[in-house]
Amino acid sequence: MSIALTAGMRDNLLALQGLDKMMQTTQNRLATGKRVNSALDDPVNFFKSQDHHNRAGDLAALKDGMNEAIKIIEAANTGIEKIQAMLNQMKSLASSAKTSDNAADLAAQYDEIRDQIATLAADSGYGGQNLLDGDTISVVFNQSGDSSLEVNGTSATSTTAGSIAGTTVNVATGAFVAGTPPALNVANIDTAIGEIDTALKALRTQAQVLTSNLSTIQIRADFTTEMVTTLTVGGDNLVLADMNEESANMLMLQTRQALGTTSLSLASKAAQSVLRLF
Amino acid sequence: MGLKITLKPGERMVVGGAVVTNGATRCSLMVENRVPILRAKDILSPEAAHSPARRIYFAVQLMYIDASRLAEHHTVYWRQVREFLEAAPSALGIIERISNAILVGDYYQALKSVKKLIAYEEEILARAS
Repeated sequence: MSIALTAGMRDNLLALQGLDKMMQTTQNRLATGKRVNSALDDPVNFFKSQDHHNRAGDLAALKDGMNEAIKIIEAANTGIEKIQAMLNQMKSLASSAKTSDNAADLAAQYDEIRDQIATLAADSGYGGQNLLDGDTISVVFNQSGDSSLEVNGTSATSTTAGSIAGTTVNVATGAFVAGTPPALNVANIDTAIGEIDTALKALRTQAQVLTSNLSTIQIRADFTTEMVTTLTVGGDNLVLADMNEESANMLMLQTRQALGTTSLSLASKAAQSVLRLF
Repeated sequence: MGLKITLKPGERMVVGGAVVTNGATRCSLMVENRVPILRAKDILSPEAAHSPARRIYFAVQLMYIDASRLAEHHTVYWRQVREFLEAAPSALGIIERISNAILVGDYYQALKSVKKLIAYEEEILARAS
């Protein structure tokens, strides 16, 4: 037996069904806190917001790469500092040997420290990459990969006991005290000191390049971090955007900035002198 | 790869750190290496930065011509961007384009995008009056 609805009853039924649907939407919004929760609510803003979230995700991945590079460079810099300390020790041993009657012993100590340099250099890596072992790293700043920085690209030389940053440091035993009968050989000692100075200079240059690279990457990494936050929060706020509110907000912001004391930005003297001319 | 620039008589521009003024006739220059280049019409003086979007322009401009203090200018940039987006979340798309250009170091493109932001801001403000 079929039940026929009168027009009035049908209208009531449709009204109740509509109300039920509205209640569900409201409950959904209350639960998630978002006015636009799916593509059906506001397709344009929903997909725009998704785009921003995806982009934030991509940038977060790039930032991880940058942080890795920073750790690798820091490990190399620490290694360089330690090697410089060792070279300085060797230098003072050599200097003492010039006026010592125990030069052979000092030469042996010199060689011991020299041999440790190779081990230290080999331990200056991070995550399998070692800038003191001839490795080159390439840090990518954007997705297409066309904005990147190569670290240690051209001067990628391994540091071992005999070859430090591309310079030679030879053994001392048999050189400090040489000849038959064995006698102190000051000329050889001076040569050794010269080699150490060259090595120290080369290491200093290498450290400067690495530090400059580190600073560039750090600035990019910080910028990327801010961008990820802005896109994530901004993407969420996008679904709350209301045109009229924005107009009122913008007017308020402009007034607040005009009355406020936060200055625009500190510019260097050079930049100020340029801007003042326009 | 060079940038070809044509200057009208008496027109000014910034090349590297120098402010140059053209003489009495039109001239054509080629800047062959990468230095900051800004024409007179693209330069915003501090007094002219009287709206939120123009302040962002000023910050990006400083990143371009005052590269030694990049970290400071970035801090100011993000503070102003955050304030702007709090007021007008719908500007996120343009802000993203500006930030992308800054990320890869293409400041000239970034400045062009901030000009769009300035125009967008005027639209928003026009609705308020």
